[in-house]
Amino acid sequence: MKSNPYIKKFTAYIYDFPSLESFAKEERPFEKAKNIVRYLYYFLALKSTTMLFAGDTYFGTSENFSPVWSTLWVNLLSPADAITIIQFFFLASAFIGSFFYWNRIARIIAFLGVFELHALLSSFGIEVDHAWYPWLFVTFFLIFLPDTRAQTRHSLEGRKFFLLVFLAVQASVFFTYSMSGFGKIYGAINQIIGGGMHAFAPEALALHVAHWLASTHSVSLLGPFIIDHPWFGWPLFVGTIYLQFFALWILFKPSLHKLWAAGLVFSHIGIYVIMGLTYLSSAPLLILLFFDSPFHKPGTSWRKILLDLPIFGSLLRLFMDFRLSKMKK
Amino acid sequence: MPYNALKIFLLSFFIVYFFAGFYVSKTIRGEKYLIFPAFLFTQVPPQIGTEYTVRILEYGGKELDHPILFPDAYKLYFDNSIALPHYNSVIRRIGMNIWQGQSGEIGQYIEALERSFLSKPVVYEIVRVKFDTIEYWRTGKTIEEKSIATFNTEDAGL
Repeated sequence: MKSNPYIKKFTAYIYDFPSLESFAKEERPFEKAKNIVRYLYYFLALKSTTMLFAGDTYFGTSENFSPVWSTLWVNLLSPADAITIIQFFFLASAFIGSFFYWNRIARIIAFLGVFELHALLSSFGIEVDHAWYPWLFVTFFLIFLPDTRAQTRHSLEGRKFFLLVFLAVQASVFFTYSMSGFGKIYGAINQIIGGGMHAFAPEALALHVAHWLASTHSVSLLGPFIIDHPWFGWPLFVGTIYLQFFALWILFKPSLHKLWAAGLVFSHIGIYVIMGLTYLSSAPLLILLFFDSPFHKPGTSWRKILLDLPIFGSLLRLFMDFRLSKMKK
Repeated sequence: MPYNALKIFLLSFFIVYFFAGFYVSKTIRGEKYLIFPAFLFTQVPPQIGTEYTVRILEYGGKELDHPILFPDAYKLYFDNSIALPHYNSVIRRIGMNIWQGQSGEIGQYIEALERSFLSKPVVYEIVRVKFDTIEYWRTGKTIEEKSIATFNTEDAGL
């Protein structure tokens, strides 16, 4: 059966990720991925050290200690002792990960360090800790990496396996953003059906900011400006939804990895200057995993980058096809 | 683990997590430990909005001359090691459930809220506030304040 050229084009636009085997055949992507894995653990070592120096400032008071199932053992001790033990365990596990990242046992220990830290942070107060979720995913998926020191020369299969796990690690970070973007679009559809204000309305960000600043009695650098000039907020909010929603799709568009990661980091900075919300725990992951992505081909043209953009890329392709057909005529 | 099995496992993980996240986002808490749907700022506040807040009537056994609303009360009477937005979401859940007549769900949130008072006993109200969102931010003025429940930390529970 002859396939429709338009369907073929559309399929290529949605998914044109080269096979992992083609990446595994080259030395460069594998070596890059290996180095990034190493730096992820180095960052954890640095983070665990700074957290230790900060003492118990990240944690709540013992009156507000309400353990989740994975910290029930803390009931045998006091919350203060648990904080000390888990902080030192996190420190030790992160350093073990940094020194022996090529070994699966070390990576399991590093994951347990993050797991217990996140559990402890989630055991104080009312809400589960959100900041460490991306790291929880990342360290969990890293466990599946093959032991890279087991062989001196890595087989094609070994490299393919390694790159698949690395892709899953990248996916776990973009996945959270896509979920967040999906939630906003789903919420907007519900609000549009209900006939109320919605995320695509020009005043959406201004109302979010006013509500947030009023209910938290907080101030921000650009919040008042956005409230007074809602139209300035509209492209920022819609742009953030665009970046978040399509993040997982971008995973399969390596030409856009760096641009997307930078966009998401800037969206966090934007959220800070507009709403005063500091949520930057994903930023190091975005930078480390995507700024020098192993799947990005060096020398990718701007034309390719533009054509890969979600929605705008397809419009551009349509426009180019239209011009080409006109020229042919 | 064979390559294809890993591929299936990874794909299944993301699919299952997505649906689990979507499911828990519909629950009263909106999330569950280890399942975080990341559904943040999904509902745009309307121009004329309603919100739930806490009004402190008596604190440390003494009646207040001027009952004080959360978040003004946050710095004075609550454990500040917990961030203010966390209290907001708990108070919102308490308020919404009382308003919808589902008070059976709120015990854990009342308990968490009362654990956070720096001194006890405390008598407080859950108040439903109606406001113009922008005006409320500018002046703090509300259109309507309606007490929907009163609690005393000395009472044995709901």
